[in-house]
Amino acid sequence: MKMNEPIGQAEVIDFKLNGEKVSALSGETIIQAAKRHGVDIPHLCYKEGYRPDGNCRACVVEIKGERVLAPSCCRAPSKDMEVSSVSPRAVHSQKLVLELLKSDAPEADLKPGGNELRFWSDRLGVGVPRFEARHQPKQDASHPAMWVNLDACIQCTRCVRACREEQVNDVIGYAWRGSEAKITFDFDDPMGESTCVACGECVQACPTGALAPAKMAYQVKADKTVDSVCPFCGVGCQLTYHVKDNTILRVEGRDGPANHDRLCVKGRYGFDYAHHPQRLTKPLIRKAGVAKTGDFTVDPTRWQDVFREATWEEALDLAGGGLKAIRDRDGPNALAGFGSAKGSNEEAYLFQKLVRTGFGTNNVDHCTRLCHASSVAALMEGISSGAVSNPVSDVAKAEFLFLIGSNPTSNHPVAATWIKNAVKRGAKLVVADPRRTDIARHAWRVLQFKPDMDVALLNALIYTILEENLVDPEFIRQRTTGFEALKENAKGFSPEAMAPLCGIPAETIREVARAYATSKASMILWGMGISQHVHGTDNARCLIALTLMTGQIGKPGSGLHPLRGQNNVQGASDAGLIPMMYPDYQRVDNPEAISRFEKYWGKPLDPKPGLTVVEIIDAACEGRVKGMYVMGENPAMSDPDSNHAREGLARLEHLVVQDIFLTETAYLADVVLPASAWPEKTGTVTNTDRIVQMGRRALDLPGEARQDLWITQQLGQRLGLDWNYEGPDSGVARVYEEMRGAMNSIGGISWDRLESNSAVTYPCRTEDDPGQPVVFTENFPTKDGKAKFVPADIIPANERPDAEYPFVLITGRQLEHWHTGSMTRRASVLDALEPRAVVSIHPLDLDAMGAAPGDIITVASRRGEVALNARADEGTPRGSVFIPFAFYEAAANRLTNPALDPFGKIAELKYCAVRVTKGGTLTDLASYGGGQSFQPA
Amino acid sequence: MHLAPAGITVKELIAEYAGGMLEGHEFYAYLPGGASGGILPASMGDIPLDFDTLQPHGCFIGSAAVIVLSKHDKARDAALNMMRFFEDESCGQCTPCRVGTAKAARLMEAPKWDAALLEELSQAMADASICGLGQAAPNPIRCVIKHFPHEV
Ligand code: SF4
Ligand code: SF4
Ligand code: SF4
Ligand code: FES
Repeated sequence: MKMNEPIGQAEVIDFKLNGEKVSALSGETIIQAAKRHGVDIPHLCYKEGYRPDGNCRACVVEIKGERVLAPSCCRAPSKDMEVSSVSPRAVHSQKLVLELLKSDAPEADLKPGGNELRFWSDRLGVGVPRFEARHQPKQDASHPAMWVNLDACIQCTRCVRACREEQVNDVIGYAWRGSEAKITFDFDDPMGESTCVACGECVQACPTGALAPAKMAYQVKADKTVDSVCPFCGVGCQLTYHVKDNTILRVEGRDGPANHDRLCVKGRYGFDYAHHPQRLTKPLIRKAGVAKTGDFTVDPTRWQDVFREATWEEALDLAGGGLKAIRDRDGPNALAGFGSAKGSNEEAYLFQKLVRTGFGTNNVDHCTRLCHASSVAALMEGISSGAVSNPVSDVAKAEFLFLIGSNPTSNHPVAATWIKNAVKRGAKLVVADPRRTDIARHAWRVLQFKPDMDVALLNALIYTILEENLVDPEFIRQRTTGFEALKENAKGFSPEAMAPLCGIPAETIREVARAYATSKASMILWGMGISQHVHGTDNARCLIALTLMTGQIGKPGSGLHPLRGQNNVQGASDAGLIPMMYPDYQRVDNPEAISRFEKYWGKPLDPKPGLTVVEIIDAACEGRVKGMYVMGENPAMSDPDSNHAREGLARLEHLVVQDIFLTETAYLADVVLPASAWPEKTGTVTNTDRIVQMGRRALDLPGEARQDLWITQQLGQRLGLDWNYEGPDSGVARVYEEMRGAMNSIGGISWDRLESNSAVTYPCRTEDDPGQPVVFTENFPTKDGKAKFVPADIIPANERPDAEYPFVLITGRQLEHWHTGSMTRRASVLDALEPRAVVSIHPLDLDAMGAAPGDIITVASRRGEVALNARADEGTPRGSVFIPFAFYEAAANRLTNPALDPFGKIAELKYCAVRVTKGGTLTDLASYGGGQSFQPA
Repeated sequence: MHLAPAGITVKELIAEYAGGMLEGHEFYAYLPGGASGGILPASMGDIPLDFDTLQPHGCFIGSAAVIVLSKHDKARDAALNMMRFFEDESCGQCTPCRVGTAKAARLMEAPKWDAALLEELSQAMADASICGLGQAAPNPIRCVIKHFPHEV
């Protein structure tokens, strides 16, 4: 948040600056007002957007009538004040301060071109310093991503504010005193051994390069900078790639609506996967006679064992020809496609169009099925819109935040920073999750409820609000239906009755319910802890009911926000990459929609909804689906019960995989098409806030790899489609404009507008519509404009622990790794930080097993087993273990249960029964990961 | 600790309250107000010690911790001692004080002072430091240059 932005523009203060009459807006400091009037006052510790600290004194000005000079960065002008930033007295101190700092600066410039001390010294003509240099501290190169060069430190504390006040990671402190004063990490630990989460905010904030990207990355001058978006999570941080010789040197945060210059470790340091030697650079064709089995070992360096190289002509003919042959022989429904939420909107649109018009089926889906499908099902049912009501940034306007089933410091790190900022500002945060994760330390109340007991807890909240009459009767009457049913259903769910089930004291439940219902503005944010259950839809129904019964929706700072996982899972779903909807959530079985799209696309369409992810895999196992086109997804790793998923993929007669690496899925392919990494293409993505953002190409493609959009078009042509999208970057602008023509929600967001603005929020219907960050302010997009309450009952998890499998397995992600690890485990810094699979387990459970942290543990379910090292974690509840699903060597999804939520068709990835035993044999490390691509300098 | 009336001079203070200078010592200089109140020569020992009386001479009574130097002492040594004290006591927050006190102490160690540079530094410390510590830290420097130029 821009903390020192002028608050209101109304009040104006007239004062004199350097003899001229100028005016300051209310809330402005002298330095800000001066800047608006074209007067640049030197400054070092002041950084726009950060709290001014006033410590460097490079910005001092003379104020008539005052004994000493004043720091212009933290001094507000008053009426008729006479200020001079150029008087001899002011300039004397400005220059002397710079000279003092310069005298302690190292000879070599650690931030060429960006060193603010140099910049201001040169600007003010400060020459060779006349003071003796201090005794210089040694470099700390203990962190893979960042180096600490305190010889260049000017003690400005920008990094301290970056770490404590902006990102709220509380790692950097300022210790000792006088000329010994210095920044420290934790208890003056080396940075690499500290609790630093490598967000890099401090590096970006540092004016001198005292904190700098590792390996002297600042010393290499970029040929170009390219503005784009982070390819990892749904927060959608804008960033800038610094590129030289077709290589990304480094990444910096940009002032996008979702991140305001902030990034997390993935966005800032996870970029070099694009340059990994295992990139696919030539089309591959499966060698004749190499059998497909579900039980295989992947070694991407030994691709020759399975594949041979081919020309694009041959590969495309084989890929398209194989799909066409199945379509013509067995009918359209023998084909299916998995698109990707990692791709652009244009890629998603074209992919679903290919499946619908080229294959002739609605069997198209993507990983949204495994993430928020149940949330969307509940939202569509209740309020006819699957997207968020308010952006994450609205937490700044909220008094109360209810965060459930989400671990944002790992999974939505920059969103988590806004939440932490809101707490610092005074908002009350309640964190409800069976695991006590990092964000919990900021919470007012932590509800560490028993796994699977979401509905019990949420219904108890609903009960309390009803019983204590904390509802908003006006809102309920005017804007909802079905309240009576909710009331009736809630009867059996008093907090007192639910407390033993969910493990939260009744009084705490009541307290939270009261605070939620009575705050001026409350927001609910949730993650996959809500959705990935057989009762995921019910969980979300309860959350929606909470917002409706209290009227906590449709206002700034008041609403609901299912935090989207993938960078473009919102956009891919919007673009129709789901089996039951065309673009813009128009149902495929709605005759009106069918005729609209048959006309728009000029092809007959299948009026039956297609199969979902898990159903497609089942159909493949049963031989009903025979051919698939998979673009950028890795179901062999990401799907529940992956042994089963791998068998299904192996049974396919024809599998075409388009990816940048030889993934576990690609290993089972007949044809592998080498595709483009995110920085190698131009396209749009839509973040969790419904903001459509522009990503721009920064790199050329390696070898013969091709942009995904081009590949899809080539396949389309081979399936008999007369596609011809002309223009740069595989015709991306044309594809976008065609998509826009089919989607009223983005009707006002033209390609040109995105090119110039980089970000526009939908709904946005006309070119001059600024877009609506907060929706449902007047009504809901349902037929009658009202939202519907849908009550929920307790449905237990599909597979409860028993004597044989007494533990609960929870799966998820960790900060450094994305999904199946294909990108992040090949990003050298991320891999160095988190090289191997670990299982988190409560230290007492570990103890009871006679095992110590680091020991090998085997986790087995009815479907498979993995062995990995144990990590003691007091936040993991007793009787549970947590495994991230990114590691091929210990693929968590070998264990998970494919049981589905009946509405969202999402699998119960957050809960299954396992047995945990000491000992086991680790699978050999893959040919990537394990920290092997990180080269210390 | 002595209780004396405001307005008393240092000479009276030495004679009436402290029992005069010790054997073999002659009054040379004095610090009227602790470490930051400045240093004055014996020739200015007749100024009444009070809140507003010392300002014209660039000094202040401050805590009224009066320190007396004899002919065996040097004002510059006392000044350096005090600068090292400030260097140590600086909280380290602002540049003029954190770096200024350290650089000043190094400069004051030289047999011959760079008086011009020390004055430039003193000006910035006095004008631009955040708090009184840094603002008053240059007082000893300025007093030595003004009243004891022969020493440096
Ligand atoms: S990288 Fe982030 S967490 Fe680490 S010290 Fe810097 S600001 Fe703090
Ligand atoms: S490391 Fe950089 S940002 Fe931090 S105090 Fe030193 S100069 Fe300032
Ligand atoms: S928070 Fe998400 S979008 Fe932002 S840098 Fe991290 S991974 Fe990328
Ligand atoms: S910029 Fe104002 S004191 Fe540092």
